[in-house]
Amino acid sequence: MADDSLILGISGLFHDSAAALVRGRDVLAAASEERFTRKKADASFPTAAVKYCLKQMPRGTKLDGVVFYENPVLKMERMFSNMFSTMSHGARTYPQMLSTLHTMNTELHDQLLGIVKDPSRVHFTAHHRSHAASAFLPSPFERAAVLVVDGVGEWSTTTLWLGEGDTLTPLREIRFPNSLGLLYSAFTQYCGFRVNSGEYKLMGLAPFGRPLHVDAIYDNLIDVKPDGSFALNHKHFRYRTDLTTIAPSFASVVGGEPLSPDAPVTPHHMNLAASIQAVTTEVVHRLARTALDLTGCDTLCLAGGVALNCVSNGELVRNLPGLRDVWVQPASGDAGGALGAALELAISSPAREKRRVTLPGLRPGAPKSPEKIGRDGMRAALLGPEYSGRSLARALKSASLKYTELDEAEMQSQLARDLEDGLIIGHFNGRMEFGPRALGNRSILADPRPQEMLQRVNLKIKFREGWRPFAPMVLAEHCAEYFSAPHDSPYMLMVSYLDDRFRSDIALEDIKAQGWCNLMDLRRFPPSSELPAITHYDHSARLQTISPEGNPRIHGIMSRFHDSTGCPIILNTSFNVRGEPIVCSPGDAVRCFLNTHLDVLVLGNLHVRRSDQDKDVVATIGKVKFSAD
Amino acid sequence: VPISELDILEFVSDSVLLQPFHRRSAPKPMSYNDDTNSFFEAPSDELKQTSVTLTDLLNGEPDLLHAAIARWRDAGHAEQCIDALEAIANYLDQNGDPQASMTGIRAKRAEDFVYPVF
Repeated sequence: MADDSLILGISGLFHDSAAALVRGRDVLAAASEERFTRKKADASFPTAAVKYCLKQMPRGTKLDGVVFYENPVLKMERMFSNMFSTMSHGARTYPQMLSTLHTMNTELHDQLLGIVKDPSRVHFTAHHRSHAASAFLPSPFERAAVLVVDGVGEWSTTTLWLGEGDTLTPLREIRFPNSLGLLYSAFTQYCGFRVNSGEYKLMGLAPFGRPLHVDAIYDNLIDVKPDGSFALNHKHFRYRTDLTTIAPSFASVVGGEPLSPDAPVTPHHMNLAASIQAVTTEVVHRLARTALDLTGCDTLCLAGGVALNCVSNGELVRNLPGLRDVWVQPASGDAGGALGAALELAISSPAREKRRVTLPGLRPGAPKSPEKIGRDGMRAALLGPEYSGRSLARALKSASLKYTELDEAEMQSQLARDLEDGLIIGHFNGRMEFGPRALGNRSILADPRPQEMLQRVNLKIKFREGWRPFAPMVLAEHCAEYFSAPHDSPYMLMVSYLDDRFRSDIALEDIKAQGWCNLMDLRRFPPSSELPAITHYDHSARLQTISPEGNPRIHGIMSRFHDSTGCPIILNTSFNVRGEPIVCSPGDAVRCFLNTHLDVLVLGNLHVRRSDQDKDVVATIGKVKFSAD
Repeated sequence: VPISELDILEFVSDSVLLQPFHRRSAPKPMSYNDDTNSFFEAPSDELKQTSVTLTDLLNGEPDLLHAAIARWRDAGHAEQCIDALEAIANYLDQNGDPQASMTGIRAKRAEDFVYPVF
């Protein structure tokens, strides 16, 4: 472990509050507040996440500082500016604006000082700088172009950087109200999904449609220059003045009517999803090309909410000339800002400089390398809480669940057999993931080959829209056999395409030509005859490559499954139900098991099979109603 | 318009609504569909700065809101704007979080919609 400054990073008061603890470049802990409070995208000050991180401090150490991921004074200035420049049309937003001002002015100040007391040890950094640091500092690169694209920070909505050694240099900026993230959110809202949480659904909807409205978007909504810089046509947006992203005139540009939540998705909205995806991919491509040109780099780091668009990310890998390698921060949303802010402060902290010259035996200017799992400094993003065997057993006993304790090899073999038997597993093991993706330790796992598996997991386990595809985990050593343009993708942030050999002969356009237009009916025509549950209709898959060092348990299960079936791929989706955050504690996992049709629950080395339980214990299925997400 | 919004509008608009302050008070967004080659801007000084301490951020002011108002004053914004912002600060001092007193559909709406700007 590096002997460097111990820094707590915090993000919050907007959405996705989180905390992260680092020591020098070494990431010790990170978690989102929503996992503890069970309130999705919890924006409140991350009290529980901070408490968790502080518990991970090495014994006998004390915090050198705490850093907040954005500059509240700058943010207030933007709010002032927005209020005056839109007066008095923006009156609807005033209560929320005043509420935000009040929270930043009182709660933020008091909470931060409550952690370290001394105002000289409370730090703030710019929102996009935090993102850029989260993308570059844990990356495997010594030098890289860095691209940050999101909704909005203080003023920045898009920034280009050069990362070199320990330093980040900003090169270009696009400022509010011009925002690619907010443009995407406008379409998210128009298609009936929730802004700031439903964007990934819009991305998943895109392959069902055709990009028929790309020209309308370029002609009316966004002006994009060859270098990727852009400006929005603000007369069609309302996010500056109202509690909505879109103006009534937005409909006249894109056609149709906005969908209300849970309304059936129409072919028109599928086409809109495809169109805004095409525009986003093109803009990100141009921005990335400019970042490489400006820096002379052939490596690229990405962060900001738009970096969670794995379709755009995958396109960069496949098609961006001059790009040799790319690394995407797995917590690219605002939660990752806590980590980036902490890392940069720890590396640049005066406390570290002092320690460098006073500690005997430590060569000045040569901090020790952080512990590495895989090729980056993220510890496979397994940075959240883990629980003792005693806690796991207690959670099962308190729910009167019968279980079997297995050693590691037995567990891996048992779970491989369970998958082969078509059982759906809720898998809870080790430290929780940091970032929005479940990467194996808080995951639902299933065999991707049965035709009915997609609907079973969607409708009986997740209680979500039946058309939404699932992501594949693939053994890294077998990735190239199944997917084109394979790329190391341990964090499920790259879309790749299923090899032709595994595609069905049925084309989406042919099915539509037969008069089909219902997403649920479509599932009768799988895009892959061998892996229907993890293949999308354009044969894309949101890939997660599994290596033994990244997740030995999952790799072991998959290797055994592969030995037995010849299939090196399993279905992975987050261990939660619709509208709820991913499970954090053993109690959360038990509740999810009891309220869904999961066949198997695994807590560490404890194996629970639904069929072994007394009927009255598992009689709660269907009694809990889950809200839309 | 609900009463709380009327209150806010009143004390802000009394000071500034009819004043020609816009050009000085708000940066002009990049114009849409212009004939320039790029919409990129040079990075701001704040982006270049690694971090700032709370002590530095407050810059002698009692709290963050007054620090932001002071920066606006120093930047030469119209006095009417500063008066309005001072009025907001006083309002918050006296009334606390306005969202906390919201009820009914307004509270539900505010809770449901993650406002993308603030």
